[in-house]
Amino acid sequence: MRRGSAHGVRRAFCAVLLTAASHGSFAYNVTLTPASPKMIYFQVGNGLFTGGNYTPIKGNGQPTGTPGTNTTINKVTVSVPAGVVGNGTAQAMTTDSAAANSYWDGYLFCNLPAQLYIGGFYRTTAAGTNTATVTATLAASLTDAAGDTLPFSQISWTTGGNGDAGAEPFPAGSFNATTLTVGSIGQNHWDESCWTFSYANTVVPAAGTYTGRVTYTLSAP
Amino acid sequence: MRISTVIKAVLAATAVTPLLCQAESTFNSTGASPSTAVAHVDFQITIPKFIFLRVGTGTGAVNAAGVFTTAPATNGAIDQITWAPGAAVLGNGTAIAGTGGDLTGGVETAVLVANNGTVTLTSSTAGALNDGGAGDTISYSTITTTASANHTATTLAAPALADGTTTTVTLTPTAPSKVIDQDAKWAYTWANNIVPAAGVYGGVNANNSRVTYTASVP
Repeated sequence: MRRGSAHGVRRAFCAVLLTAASHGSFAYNVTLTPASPKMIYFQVGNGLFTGGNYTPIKGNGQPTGTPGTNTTINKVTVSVPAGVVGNGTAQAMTTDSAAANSYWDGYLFCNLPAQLYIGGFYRTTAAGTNTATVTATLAASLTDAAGDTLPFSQISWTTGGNGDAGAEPFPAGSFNATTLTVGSIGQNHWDESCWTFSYANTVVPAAGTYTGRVTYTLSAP
Repeated sequence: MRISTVIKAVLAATAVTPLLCQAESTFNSTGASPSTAVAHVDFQITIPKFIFLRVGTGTGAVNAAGVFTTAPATNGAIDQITWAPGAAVLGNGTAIAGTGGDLTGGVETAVLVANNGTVTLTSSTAGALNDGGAGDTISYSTITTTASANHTATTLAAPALADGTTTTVTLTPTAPSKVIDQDAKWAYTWANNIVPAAGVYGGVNANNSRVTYTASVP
């Protein structure tokens, strides 16, 4: 549920949905009407819906828009100024993602370039209480062209989108392991968050440009 | 018969393998259980080349791991180390610790952090200390710099002092690292093994009093 949203239609619609839902948090997660076929949609950064957003939902329970595949892999970057390398002052990271608006209803949810959208839905043909989990897999370190390394654990994130309050479906965390659970989507839910990444800057790495890819996997039972 | 076998194998694999799609947004409507969707994010951190050197009063300190505990910053303070031996002990061969320095007792904090490979650390002077117009001198070779451990596992070695020339210490990172992060306590001692003419030698940036330390990295 969005707090203080200027989008009255969205807020009112969510309120109705949440009245019937058992979900207890107040971040942005809404209950979907079960419909066929079983479907999952997962978006990190740029995504794709054609023909509209998920809402308004049609009479047959189907979304207005059609979820699609977007192959753009977004980047989250920071360039540390020379005078502050390793001084312990965290450095904000930014993204090249263009995904500011939610495909749930078009609401301006994430603030660019500071935030990266993550969300989607897990819809089944009948009601249920399962959960689809999102795991991140990554190497222990980012590397540069010379083979120098920088621990991924230097990167962390906070979470929260415009109008949100309460627990997020994709909570704050850090890359403190090479495989970790970073969130979940309840059965027949649309859940979404906005992540703001930060570089801890508590180590002095060799000069270089370090890169590393994180793979996020949504797995629905 | 061979084709049939292949088709059966493919169908069998399809039946037991969860559907997996990869993209940055993915939808999956096959109804497979379990069903999976994959997305990626690329992270990039750019670290510039830098070098930090502190001798004496300064801003920037490191811990045992060589990580900054006080953020490095430019500090223009220049310390003075002095000796004023008593007449009764002058030239008796017993070395004398200096006074002054940020750690007092003629001891300076020394910190060097750099992140692009081998570092050269030099000291240079314009000549022997002198007392001005009288032309008397005391050689820098009578002043010893002794490095002792401060915080880091490796103690930062001090380049020797010499008259009118430059001396060098080369610091090589332990491969594969390209980072030098060392500190030390540098204690300055005068040998007191000569009897100079009476006078005040050196000063504050006068009479060849100033030692310049320079660190450089490729």
